[in-house]
Amino acid sequence: MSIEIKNVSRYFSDTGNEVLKNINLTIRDGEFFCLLGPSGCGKSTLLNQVAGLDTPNEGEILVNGKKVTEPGPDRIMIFQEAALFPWLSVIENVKFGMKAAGIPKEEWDAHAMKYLAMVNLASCRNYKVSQLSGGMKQRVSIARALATNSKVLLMDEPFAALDKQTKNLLRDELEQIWLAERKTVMFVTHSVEEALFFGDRVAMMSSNPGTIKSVFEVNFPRPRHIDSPDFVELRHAILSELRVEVERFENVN
Amino acid sequence: MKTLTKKAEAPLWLKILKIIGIIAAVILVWQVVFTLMVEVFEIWKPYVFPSPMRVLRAYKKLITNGSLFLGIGQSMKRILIGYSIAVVIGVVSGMLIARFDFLAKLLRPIVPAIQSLPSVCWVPFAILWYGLAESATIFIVVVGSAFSICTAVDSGIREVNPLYVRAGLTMGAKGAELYTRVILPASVPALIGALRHGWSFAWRALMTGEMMMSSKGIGLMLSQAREIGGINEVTAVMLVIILISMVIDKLIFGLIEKKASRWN
Repeated sequence: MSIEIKNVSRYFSDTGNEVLKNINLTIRDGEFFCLLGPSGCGKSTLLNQVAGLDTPNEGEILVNGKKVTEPGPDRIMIFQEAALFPWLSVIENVKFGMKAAGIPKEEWDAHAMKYLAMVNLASCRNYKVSQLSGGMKQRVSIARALATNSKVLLMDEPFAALDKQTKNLLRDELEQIWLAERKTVMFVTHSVEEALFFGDRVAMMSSNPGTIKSVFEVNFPRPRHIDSPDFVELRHAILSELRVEVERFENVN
Repeated sequence: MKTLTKKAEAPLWLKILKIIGIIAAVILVWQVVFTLMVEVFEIWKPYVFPSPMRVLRAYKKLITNGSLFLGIGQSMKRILIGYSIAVVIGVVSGMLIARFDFLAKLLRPIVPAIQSLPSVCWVPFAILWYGLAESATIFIVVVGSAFSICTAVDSGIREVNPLYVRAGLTMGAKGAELYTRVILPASVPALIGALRHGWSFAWRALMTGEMMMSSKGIGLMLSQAREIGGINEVTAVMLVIILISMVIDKLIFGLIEKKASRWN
């Protein structure tokens, strides 16, 4: 499924604050698209709008040609905090979205187990959420999103709250899963490394108002290594552009 | 060496022994104060200060003439009826206020204001509406606790972590389904807190109602004790009132809360 973002603007009429200004982006079917930018540039807002959790004041967003008007199980959001429901067990959490996704009830268990196994947590199926570590929680939330069979994954800094080791582990897992399932992913991050590790393309946003500043094609093969010459070169290019952006932002404020 | 393991919970018999010990110590101090102030120095008169032995004798009287258990039974019946009605009214109205903005705008400022009214202020209303009938006391219990339950349910639902709501929405739960699968389960701890709080309001309101206008019941026994039985019987009845309230709060609500908090 493709995502088309057409002339999207978002502002708050009471404060006159322009969060997003005239955003145009097309994300191809099966593409891993990263949205990079300094904090406060509106990248999460844009992702929320694709999810249907926020509405643009101007412009429209089409997912597979259909205008986004409300949240739906065809576009699953994964949040920075795992957002698991603590009153449900691990496997019940994974099964939560299956009803709306139209998966027949008799398949729920097997389907949930398939994705729990994919994130290496099959043995924790009956655990309570409170028994899981931060990394395990985020894994379950990824399994929960995948288990809806949604063709689009919207990820809002899903690894930002994790320690470095867990982050690296989950990064590799997510890449494997994406290579196997080839979903369309829109991934918001403020880490250049993360963006370059995952992205087929990386869009850099500037803030105040939030606009798309430039879009980088990342052509080198997977799995990518952060110390390969290609990687280092592109990272340097992006970082220097980002630095200009952050400085500009700080001068404005 | 510092240990990382959690301290094991003390066994039940030790807990019970501890409670007995505390009670014994309180009674001992009480006895000493009584002996010194009333009997030795004669500063206080025996009709203003109770003694442990005389309170015990009051219990013996209240138990042998059957009035204690009759009173407890009557009060329990009243509070069960009144509290049940209050729970239904409070929970339903609280949920409606949390759900519909126009109700919230209208009622959110009013309900806590009415709740701040002491339940004794409702007594004239109750008498004018129901006379000195059973329903008057039950009415006091209902108005004494329904508003507090309503406010607590409303705020419990309103304060559900928005992240849960967003997660539910993105997975396709909306409308009534979002309510039953996300918002209600997420607010269960707050709902239990609301019921517990409401219970203590109901109990106080019941005592007010019974003291002012009932026949039978523990509240009435307290009024009668003042008129007939004296300070020792008053103390005996008051201790029963405290004990019942404590047992229900700690045992019933404490257990439910503990059970519900397990998943949090």
